[in-house]
Amino acid sequence: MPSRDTSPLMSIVVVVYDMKQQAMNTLRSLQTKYQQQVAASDYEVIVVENDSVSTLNPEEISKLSGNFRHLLRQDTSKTPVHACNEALELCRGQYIGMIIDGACMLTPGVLGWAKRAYAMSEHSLCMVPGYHLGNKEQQNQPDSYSSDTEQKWLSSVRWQEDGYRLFKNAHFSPGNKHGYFHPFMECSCFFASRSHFDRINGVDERFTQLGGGSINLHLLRSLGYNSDITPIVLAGEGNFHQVHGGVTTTPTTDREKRIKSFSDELNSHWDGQFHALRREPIILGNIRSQSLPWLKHSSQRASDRSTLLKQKRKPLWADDETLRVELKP
Amino acid sequence: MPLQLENTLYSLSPEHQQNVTKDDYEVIIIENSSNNTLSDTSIKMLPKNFRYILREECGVSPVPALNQGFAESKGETIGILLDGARMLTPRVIDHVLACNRMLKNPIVAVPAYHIGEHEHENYNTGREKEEQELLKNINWKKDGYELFNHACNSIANPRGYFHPLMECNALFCSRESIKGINVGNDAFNLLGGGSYNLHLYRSLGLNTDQALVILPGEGSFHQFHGGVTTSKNQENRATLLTQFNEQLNSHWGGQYKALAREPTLFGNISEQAHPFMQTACDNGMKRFSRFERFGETPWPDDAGAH
Repeated sequence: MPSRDTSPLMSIVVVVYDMKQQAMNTLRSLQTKYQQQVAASDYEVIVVENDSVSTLNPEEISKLSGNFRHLLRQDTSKTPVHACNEALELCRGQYIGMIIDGACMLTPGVLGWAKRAYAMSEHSLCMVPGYHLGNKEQQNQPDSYSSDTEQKWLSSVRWQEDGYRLFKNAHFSPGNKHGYFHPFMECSCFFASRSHFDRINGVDERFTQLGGGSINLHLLRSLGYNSDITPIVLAGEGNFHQVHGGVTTTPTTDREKRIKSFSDELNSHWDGQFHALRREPIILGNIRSQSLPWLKHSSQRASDRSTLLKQKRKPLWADDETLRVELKP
Repeated sequence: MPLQLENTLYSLSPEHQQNVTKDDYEVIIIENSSNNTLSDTSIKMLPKNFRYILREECGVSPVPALNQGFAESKGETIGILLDGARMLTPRVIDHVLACNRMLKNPIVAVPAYHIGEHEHENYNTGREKEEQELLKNINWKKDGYELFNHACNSIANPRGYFHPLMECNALFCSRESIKGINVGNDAFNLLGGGSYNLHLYRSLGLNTDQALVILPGEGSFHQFHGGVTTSKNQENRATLLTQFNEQLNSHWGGQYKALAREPTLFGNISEQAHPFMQTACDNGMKRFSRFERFGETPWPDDAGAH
C-alpha cells in the first residue's frame, strides 16, 4: 500500500460475490505489470467481496503487482449496493473506477487512458465498452458453453501477455449491443470523479433486488445526465465479462421475470421511462488490430442509427439537446 | 486565393469553432503579395483574435512566410496550415486544446480531404467556380461537418488514418517542438515550398516522446485554387513533382517515408464522418493483416517510444 499521505489519483472499486476464478482474472487485469502507461502510485484497487462459499484467496491477491485492498464482508442482502458504498468510503483517489460485476476483465490500456481522460477534464465520464467472452451473449450460449470452457480458452490464449487477444473471442455486451456510437444502456467499467459520485450520494441503496437489479444502469445515467459531464468512450479498450452464473447473464427459467422486475424498478426512478444515456461521446485511445473490427462495426451501426433517426425526425443525442435547453437562462 | 481563404478564415472563426472563445486562440494570416490578395473589406471584418500580415516575397516558397508567422505567434501550441485553401471542421480548436490538457506536447493531426468526388489534381481550372458554387449551396457554415458529404480522401492519406499519413495540412504541436526542428527549413525554396509540408510532418512526428493524435471526426478540406500539386493543368506538374521528391529524399537519406506511428484517436464522430471511418477501418484491417502475416509492426517509427 502507498503511504497514508500519498493518495493515488484513481481508486478502482471491484465488487465480488461468489466468483473466485473470474474475479481473480479481473484483478490480474488490474495489475501494474499488465496495465500500460500507468504507475502503481497512480491507483489503488478496492476489492469488496460479499461472503460466499467461493471467496478470493487473500494470499493470492497479496502477490499481485499494484496496490490492492481486499475487504471480505458479511452481507445477506443479495445486492451489491452496500458493498459499493462501503468501498466508496475507503477510496482515496479523486477519480473513481466502478466495476460492479467483478467478472469483467480489462484490456491493458484502460487505466492509462482513464488517467488521461481525467487530466483532460475532471468532469470526464470515462466508459469502457462491454463485451461478453464467447461468440454470443452469454445468456444465449448453449449448455455446452460453460465457465470451464471459457477459462480453458483464456488459459490457452495467454491473455496476460497481450490483453487485446480477448477481442478475438467476444461479442458486444447487451449494455452496448449496437457498439459504442449508440447510447450506452449500461457500462460495467466506468470512471467518474469523486465529486460527481458525491453529488448523486453514491450508489442508490433502494436497489435491493438480486444482484442490485438495474443499479448499474441507474448509476451510469445518474452520473452522465449532467451538463458538466463529458462522456468519453475508450474505443480501443474493453471490459470482458466471464461466465460466472450471474443474475442476467445465465439462461435461467425465471430470467425474463426477473428482468421485468428490474426494469419496473428502474423505470419507477425515471418518471416511468428509463433511457440509455443519449449523449454524444468523445472517443479516446489507440486502436489495435484486434479491436479495429469492433470500431468498424460500431461505426456502421452509427450510420444505420442516424439514417433511421433522420427518417423519424428525431435527434441523434436527445439528452444533449435537453440539457442544453435546461441550461438556457 | 481570396475566395478560398475567406472560407478558411470563417472556418477558423469563433463563430464557427465550437466550445472555444476568441480568447482561447489567435489566428495569424501571412499572405505573400500577389495580384489577388484578401480584400480590404474582408480584412476589416476579421474577428478580433485574427491578425493579417501582407508581406513582399521575391521567392516562390511559403517557408519564409511560415517563419514570420511563427515569430509573430504568442501561443504555446502552434497550428500550421501551410495552404490557406484548407477549411476546418468546427471542433478542431476545441479538441486540440483538450489534447494538450491530456498529453504532454502532443502532435495533433487533422486528416485531409479534398472537396468534390475526386482529388483535385484530376480537375481543370473551371472547377474553381463550380466548387465555390457548391460550397454556397451546402450551408457548411451552419454545419461544418456537411463538408464530409461533399469530399474525398486527400492524396496524402488516400486510405484513411490507419495508414501512415504522408503529410498533414492542419497540424498542431508545441512551440518547443517547432523550435526543436528549427522552424521552417529555408532549403525548401521550390515553387509552393515543394514537399516542405511532408518534411515538416515527419520531422515533428519522429519525436516519440510526444504522442501522435489524430482527430478522426474532424477534417481539413482543400478547395480547388489552382495549387501547385493540386491542379491538372499546372504546367510541368510531373517535372515539378520529381524535383520536389528529389529534394525531399535528399533530406531523408535518399528515401523519405510517411510517418508510421500508431495514432491515438480523439474526438466526437459526426454522422457525416462515419463513412470515412468505415473506409479507414476496412483499409486498416487489410494493412494490419498484411503486417501480421510478415510478423512486422505496422508502426515501425514507434520503435524506442516511451
